[in-house]
Amino acid sequence: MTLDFQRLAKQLDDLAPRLREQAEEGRARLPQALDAARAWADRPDSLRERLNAASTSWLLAEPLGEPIDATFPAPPVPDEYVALASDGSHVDVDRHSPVSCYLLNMGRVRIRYGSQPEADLASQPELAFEDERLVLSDRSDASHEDVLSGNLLAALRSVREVELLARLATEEDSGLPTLALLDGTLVLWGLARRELRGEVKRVLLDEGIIRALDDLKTLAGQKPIALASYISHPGGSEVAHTLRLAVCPLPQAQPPRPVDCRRCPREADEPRPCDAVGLTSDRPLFRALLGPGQRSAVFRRTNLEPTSIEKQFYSQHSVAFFYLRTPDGVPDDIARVEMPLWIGQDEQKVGLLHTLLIDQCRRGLGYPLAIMEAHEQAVIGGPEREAFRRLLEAQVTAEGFSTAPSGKDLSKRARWL
Amino acid sequence: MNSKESPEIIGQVVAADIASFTAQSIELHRAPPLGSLVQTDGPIYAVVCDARTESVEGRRPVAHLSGETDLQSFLDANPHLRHLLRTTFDAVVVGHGESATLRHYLPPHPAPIFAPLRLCPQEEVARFSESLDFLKLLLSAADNSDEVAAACLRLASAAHPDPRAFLLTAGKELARLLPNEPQRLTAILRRIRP
Repeated sequence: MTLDFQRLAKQLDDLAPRLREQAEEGRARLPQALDAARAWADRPDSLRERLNAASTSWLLAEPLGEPIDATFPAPPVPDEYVALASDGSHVDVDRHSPVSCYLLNMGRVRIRYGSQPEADLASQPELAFEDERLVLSDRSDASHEDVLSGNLLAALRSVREVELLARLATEEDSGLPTLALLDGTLVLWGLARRELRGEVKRVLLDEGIIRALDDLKTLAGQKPIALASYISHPGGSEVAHTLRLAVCPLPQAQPPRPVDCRRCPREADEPRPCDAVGLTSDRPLFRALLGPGQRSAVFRRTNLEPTSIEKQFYSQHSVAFFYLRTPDGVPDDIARVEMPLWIGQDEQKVGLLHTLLIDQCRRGLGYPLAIMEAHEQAVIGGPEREAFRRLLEAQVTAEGFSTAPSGKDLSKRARWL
Repeated sequence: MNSKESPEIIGQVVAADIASFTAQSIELHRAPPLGSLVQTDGPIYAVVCDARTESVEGRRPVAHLSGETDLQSFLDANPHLRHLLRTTFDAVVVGHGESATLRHYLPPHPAPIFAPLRLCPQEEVARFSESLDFLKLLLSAADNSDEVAAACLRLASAAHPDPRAFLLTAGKELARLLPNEPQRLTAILRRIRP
């Protein structure tokens, strides 16, 4: 054992007081944050103006039309509906392996509820070993190649999840209200700006996630389909940041000035004036606002960096979101539901999302059942990874090639002490 | 059922050794009854000695009724469950071979994995149980062998023209096989009393 638990334990001891401190701080700030939300609830235009004029690095949230502190009970659940979900997992390229390849495993779920109950749960593996699928070559720069591994492979997997969901939505011909679900966020995170050019941009964005979202938008115009991604226990804080701007004293100064965080009127070493309402995330705010099964107002993210993926490439699919509290009878959780703006602006689709997600949470004991099962279909567990490695080695050996592992790999598998 | 028609496939062998096998039911919750005679192609004959329904991935089911008052409506309200559960059953091998070469002892090889399984039709049950030599295998096999043997004899008796006479013969055979175990014998006899 190389982790010294005795030394670690001492450091853990220091954690408890800090946790208590944070909790007390949050408790003190919450009522003021709620006051700020209520104070601005009926002044959406003034709030929008303030946000638009502000200079700040914080990501912000602008209510799409409902008051910032609004709460809505779930509409009645339709007797019949369909839940679709897709999820993926992958085995990354391993340079210690005798073969250069990656494996994607896509799980999909279709469950029909009502008078003709049925379910389809399946997974589809995709093994890529050809050069053209492992490396994206830049047509404009012969020396520039991007290997599909690490964060690029994770992004490709996210693209495949949306593509698969678009396919399931295309095939859906029941005519019933349909919930199309993804796990996590709709935006391809984790890609560096410099990676987003040439083939990577074409494969992952233009002909990848953007095309799939375009397809879903067309389908949602023809069928009663609502699309969303679901984030359990989210860490987002755009609404909390917005409340900070809402209480900033600069616009009340003489003469009034727009919010500008570079000119924060704080004394040296003193807290910022907006710290009085500063919550670490949106979660405590909505835990205080929302009753079981309720949703918040729909927000759109604003103040994105001009160079962010969402701002640069998502255009009509930019992200809207609402918060949701799980219903009575299941573990209490605040979830964030992200959707493309065209869903967020459609009151009917938002209502459909809300009620079907609450029903899915009830069935999944606090988490949408369809996503949970899609994940179960997709997940590649430890023993399966090991079996995959052995199968690869067997295939290589059968072809008469050496499977000599790298020194490092060997050292992990066979130590002499 | 016409003896020329091949009976419906009820399961598929998923684990096997010479003396027993485990099979997965084609339909959830539809394992053949305890004590029934099943056969693989070949054929290998076996008597069902246990059955269960469980999660396919080792997940542990959690009781979760939400207004449903019977199993069918619960499964209908949760259509995905049929994909996550499976019913399997165990069977004790009691014989093998075609009718001309029917043997009431263990076959030389285990049932092949994935071999389809059929419930033996009544005339097959009658033919197989004409000889009661298989009882010895049954009595020495499973933990609950007495229950299995009794259930098997009750079901087999219905395949014979005179069930009472069949059970009397079976009782005598049991007495011969269990001379030193009167309590065990009595328990089985009580269970097959016509």
